[in-house]
Amino acid sequence: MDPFGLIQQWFSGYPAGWERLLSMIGIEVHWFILQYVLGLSFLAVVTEAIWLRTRNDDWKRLSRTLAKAFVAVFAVGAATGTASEFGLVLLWPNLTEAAGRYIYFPLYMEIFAFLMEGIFIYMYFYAEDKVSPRTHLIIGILAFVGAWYSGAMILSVNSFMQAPVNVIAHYDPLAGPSSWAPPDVLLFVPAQIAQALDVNKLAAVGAKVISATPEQVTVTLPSGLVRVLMREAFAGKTIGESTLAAVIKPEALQSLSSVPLKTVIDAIVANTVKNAGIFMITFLSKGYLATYIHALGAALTVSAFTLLGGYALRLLRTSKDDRDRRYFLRAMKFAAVVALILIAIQGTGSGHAMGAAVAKYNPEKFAAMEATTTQITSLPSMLGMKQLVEQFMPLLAYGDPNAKLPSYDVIAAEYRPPLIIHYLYYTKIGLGVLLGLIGLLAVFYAFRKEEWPSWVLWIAVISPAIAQITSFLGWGVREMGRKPWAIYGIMDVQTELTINPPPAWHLMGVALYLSLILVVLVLAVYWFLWRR
Amino acid sequence: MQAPLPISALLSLSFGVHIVLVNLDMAIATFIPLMEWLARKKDDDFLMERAKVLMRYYASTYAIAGVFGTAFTVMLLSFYPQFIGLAGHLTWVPFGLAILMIALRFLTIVLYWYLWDRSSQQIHLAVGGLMALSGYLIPFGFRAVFAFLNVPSGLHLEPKPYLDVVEALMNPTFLPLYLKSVFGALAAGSLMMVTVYVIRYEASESSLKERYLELVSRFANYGFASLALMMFFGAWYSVSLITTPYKFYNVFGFLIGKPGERDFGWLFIVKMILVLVQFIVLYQVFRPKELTETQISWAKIGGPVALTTVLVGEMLNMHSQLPYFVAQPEIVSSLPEIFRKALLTTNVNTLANLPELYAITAASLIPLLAAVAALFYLLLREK
Repeated sequence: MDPFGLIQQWFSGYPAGWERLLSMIGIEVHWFILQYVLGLSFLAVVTEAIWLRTRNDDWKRLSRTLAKAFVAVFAVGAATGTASEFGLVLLWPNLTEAAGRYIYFPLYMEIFAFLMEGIFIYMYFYAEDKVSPRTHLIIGILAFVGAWYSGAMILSVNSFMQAPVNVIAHYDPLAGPSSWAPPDVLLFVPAQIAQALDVNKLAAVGAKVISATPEQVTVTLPSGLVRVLMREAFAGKTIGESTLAAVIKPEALQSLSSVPLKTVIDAIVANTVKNAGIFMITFLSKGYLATYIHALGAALTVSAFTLLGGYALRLLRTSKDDRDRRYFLRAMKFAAVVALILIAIQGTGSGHAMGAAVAKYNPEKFAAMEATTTQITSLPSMLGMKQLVEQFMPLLAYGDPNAKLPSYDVIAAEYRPPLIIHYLYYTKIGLGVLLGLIGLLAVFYAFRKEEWPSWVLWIAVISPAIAQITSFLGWGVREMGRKPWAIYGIMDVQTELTINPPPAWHLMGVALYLSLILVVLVLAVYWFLWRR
Repeated sequence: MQAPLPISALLSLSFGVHIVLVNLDMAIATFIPLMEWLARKKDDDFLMERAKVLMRYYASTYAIAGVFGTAFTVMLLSFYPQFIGLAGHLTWVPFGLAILMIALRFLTIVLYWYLWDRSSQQIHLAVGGLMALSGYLIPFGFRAVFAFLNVPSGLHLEPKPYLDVVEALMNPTFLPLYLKSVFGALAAGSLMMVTVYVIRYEASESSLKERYLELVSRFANYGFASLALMMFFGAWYSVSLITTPYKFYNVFGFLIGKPGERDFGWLFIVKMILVLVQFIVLYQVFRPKELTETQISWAKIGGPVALTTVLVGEMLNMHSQLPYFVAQPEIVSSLPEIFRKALLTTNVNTLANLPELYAITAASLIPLLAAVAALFYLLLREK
């Protein structure tokens, strides 16, 4: 498959290519900005705390600059967040409806996180000269905690979409590729509905009864069947018109035939949510903690490299006798150390945990990431490292040298994610390593007494872009790799899509508009921070 | 049948705070570039400084307004997911326009604030103009949706449910509702400015009193014109509501002895009284040479009364069509069950209608509302 074929597989191999593209741009624009809200707010507080201890005014100056920057990006982040929120409602209304109905709680709590973030960010910025330094620091802590709290809520929803608590992936790494099977969905069917179902017919379509009580029957259904039922339910079909009719007892079907399928599906899913815990279901998503730490780490890493790049640019544009140089160098030293620590944690700690979670809970995505297929030439093969990767990846992913990776080619076609994520993933890994090297280089020069060579400064200047691209690719792998699913094992892309898809030129226009806003924002922040 | 009280209260609270703040913001975003333009034209440092101070408050309140707007949307999603899902299928153009304008508005606020004294006057004023304009285009989209909720013009069910946007914009209630809202916002904002500058007038030393008096007079003029236009478009909107009898009788039925199922005539009377008070305030401060104690007292209540009027008007508009999201019971009842359920406010998400959730809400919201109060206190407090 050539590069064009890879893009085509992602764009046309699944429904709603244009809508997905717009969503990707909208959410990436939001994430581009959001990383600074999460990261700069924290760094501003850290530098202010250092100032409180040292009383060195360089730290205060740095803290103020960071606060100015994150207030600016917060306002636009709020706008892009609103745009993303409405974008989700308008393009993916069925997914939005399902989220509102079943996993609303973190979204609901995000209201308060957002409010907390907004209030304390503004208080931090505007009230600095009206409260004591310690109070100001506490306000700053509340501001970044608000932002992190908000992230925790939203990421729990995203984690649910990646690996819901009640979806069981089937892959045994010790048994090898042939052990792969489509995921099953664990459901708690209210007894009233279960009584109408024909157990033999259900078993014939792959359903398994796990347990039964007078109130409910616990079953697993193949995700292929759940996907079809969800699609039919949201399309407004009645039971009589739906696939469910095939597993309903004939005597029950007569009275239920005209009942909307959505009513039955809703009763089953709502009961399942109640069993998992209405307030906890998204937080129990597999891999949630790793996701949260990794995403937060990405935001902090991007912010630290941006700080490094921004001050490197300042240094390049400053004359040698400028009295500000000492301050710039101090800021760069701080940024370099923070960036190096963070990229190391990202690569070896949270990144590894994320990878292991994907391997365990999303084997199809993992197979695509590792390109265990004959359809494309993997990057490790191109680089002559195939054997090395094949040897170590199972150990890394499963903690067992005898484990085997899932084979992309064994996975049934309708469950395969796009293969483009393999190249995105390995490019991300490569850029992450490059960031680590840049971090090392920056720390090396930060602790030397000599001047930073200009080539190192220029590398530092481009490092924020590399960090942003790395983060972008991380999300790209995660989200593009979620295909063909909207919610893994439960709802596919076709089902979540609006029944009135906008024309492509609308979608492209909005995408261009959002991109333009991002460019203008970057320029505005640059002017604001650096032009006097 | 009615929606549970806590849900009604939460939606009213979040929407109420949002709508009051956005009305204020819409007016202020118009006044700031206007004041800057006047200040540059007259080389008036005092006016320029007032514009800058106003911008400082505006930039902070705008995000808070946005937060409450998001809160309202998410609460609607949590309590009425089917309604939001249905709306999503139909409203790409009106909501899409509002989204684009929201993004533009935030960007222009950031640019206008940070480019002040860092760019040419023309560029800065152009950004200010764009900031003001985006404020008028956001409600254009949202009011189109509100009008749709009065009369579902443009809704077609075959071969699948879709919205004909041109027909939707021809909705008889859309234009008067939109224009009423715009001038209502300008009137409320003007009266708030009158109140603020009267307080400044009272507190300032004699050399500045005259300048504050000028501002009071200027905003009283704006307020008078806007309020008169708001009354005109309000009357037009009232007449247009005849196309939605359920709502019309709920609001005006008492006037003709035919109160509706949910008689909100009393709230309409409250609103009219509040409008009357606004006229009295404006009369009191209309081109004064100096202000007496009585005039000052009237002026001080002008802003709060105007904002309360906005709140009352919106609550009247919202509650008088309940329990229907679309205020046409006959149309709602003729729809397939799946849509019918989505359009009733009594059809609450059973997973969200829980006492535990209300307790969590109270525990989260109360400290944050106190923090909002602290933020405004700190903003207004002298160093």
